[in-house]
Amino acid sequence: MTLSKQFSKVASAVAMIMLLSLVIYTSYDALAVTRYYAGYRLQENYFGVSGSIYTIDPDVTGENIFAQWVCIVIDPARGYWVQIGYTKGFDTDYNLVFYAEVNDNYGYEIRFFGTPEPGDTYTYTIVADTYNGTRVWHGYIRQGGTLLYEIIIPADPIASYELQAFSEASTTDIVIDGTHFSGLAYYTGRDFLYWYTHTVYVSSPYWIEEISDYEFMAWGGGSVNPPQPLGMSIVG
Amino acid sequence: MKKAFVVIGIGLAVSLLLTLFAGYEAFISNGSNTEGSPVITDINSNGGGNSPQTIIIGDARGTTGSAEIRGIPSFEELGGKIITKEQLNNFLRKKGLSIYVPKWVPEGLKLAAIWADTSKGIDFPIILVYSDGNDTDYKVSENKLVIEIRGFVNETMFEQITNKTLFEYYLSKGATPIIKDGELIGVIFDDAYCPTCVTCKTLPLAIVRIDNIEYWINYKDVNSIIELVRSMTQTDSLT
Repeated sequence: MTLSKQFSKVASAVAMIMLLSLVIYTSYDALAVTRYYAGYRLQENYFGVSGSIYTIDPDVTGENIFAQWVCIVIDPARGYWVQIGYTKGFDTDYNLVFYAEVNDNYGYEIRFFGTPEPGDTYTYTIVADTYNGTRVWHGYIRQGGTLLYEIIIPADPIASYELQAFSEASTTDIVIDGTHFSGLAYYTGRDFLYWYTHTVYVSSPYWIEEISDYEFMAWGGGSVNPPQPLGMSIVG
Repeated sequence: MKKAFVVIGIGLAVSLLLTLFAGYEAFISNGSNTEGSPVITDINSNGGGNSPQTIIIGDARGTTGSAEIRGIPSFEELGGKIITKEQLNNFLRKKGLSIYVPKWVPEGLKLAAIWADTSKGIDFPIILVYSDGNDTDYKVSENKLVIEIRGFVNETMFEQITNKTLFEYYLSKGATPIIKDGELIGVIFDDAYCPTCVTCKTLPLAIVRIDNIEYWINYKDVNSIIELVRSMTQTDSLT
């Protein structure tokens, strides 16, 4: 075999590898939307949600994200929602940050801000409100009695389908041990009251322990699943 | 030898395209674009003390189509399933409910699927999908009519806050009214962001209330929406 023929074969192989990379990249992109959840739903259309979330700091690598949040689902068919929580991922330079995210008639936006401390508990609240004559989702992040952040999100339409409180991960490699949501509450228009019922949704391999209608713990993920404790539920 | 250089050239071109594509994706994901951009605001600040930091998210948001980075579990993950007409009729009978469905729909569309939340037995939302017959997906898109029957309205707190009904508020913000028999029964947002659409960024959305049940109607043409809403008639049994 001549040198040029050998060179030609190597070059062809390189080109094939590059084309294969493109195919794999495209497939990866399609898979990248996979999400794993552990948490509660309140299937009622209240216009406010609140919950305290203990901050954990799991390892997150690659093109992945982890988040824990409370949310008002505005519409399932259009995919509208507003949510507030904390997160860590490729798009936060793997730092823990608070965030607010909305998807509605006005469009989509996510905003990162501040730095939650691992081991601290923060209370996240979203409530329908008015601000300078405009309907808004009014968000609050508190630590104990101290209001740390106030978030104003113009809302259109103002509507609610259900309330959610979830831990979310883009890969089961993320270990969510220590997850603890408490004081889940809904807004009556006057007061926040504890959730009086709930529906569990958990993606395998995560686990959830239902402490009450307004409190749960969750764990799991990583290469080895923890032993199954008493009182847990698995759904999904 | 020449052939080898041509092959290497193609390889390098593919590599360059791949790099540019990956870079663009990372660019979008990191939100350095102006539309739908995640903005890292004072990432090391902790607000705190007695002076909370205020974060204001504007109404000029991105409409990039599929930009969600965190998001929520999908309707079908949470128990959304296709049900039969009989199952829907049993649900209505059991609850003692009537719903309103259009007598007229745009030409070429027919009822292709009925979706419902089945996580605790059949319940609202009931989603009626009208398409050419092949598309049964509940997700709103530009090629079909999606009527989402959301159940009973819970609006008291807004009236307490603003002394206005929600419809009055929407009209003051430029929504199109839907009048039937002299009564304001709904509004249309002409340019509502449509994250599930493929070829367009926005799609009209009508919010209609009849007998205290709320309907969200998604279709590409505002006049057709008005016509089909006016044709809606009461039924407790879909045929």
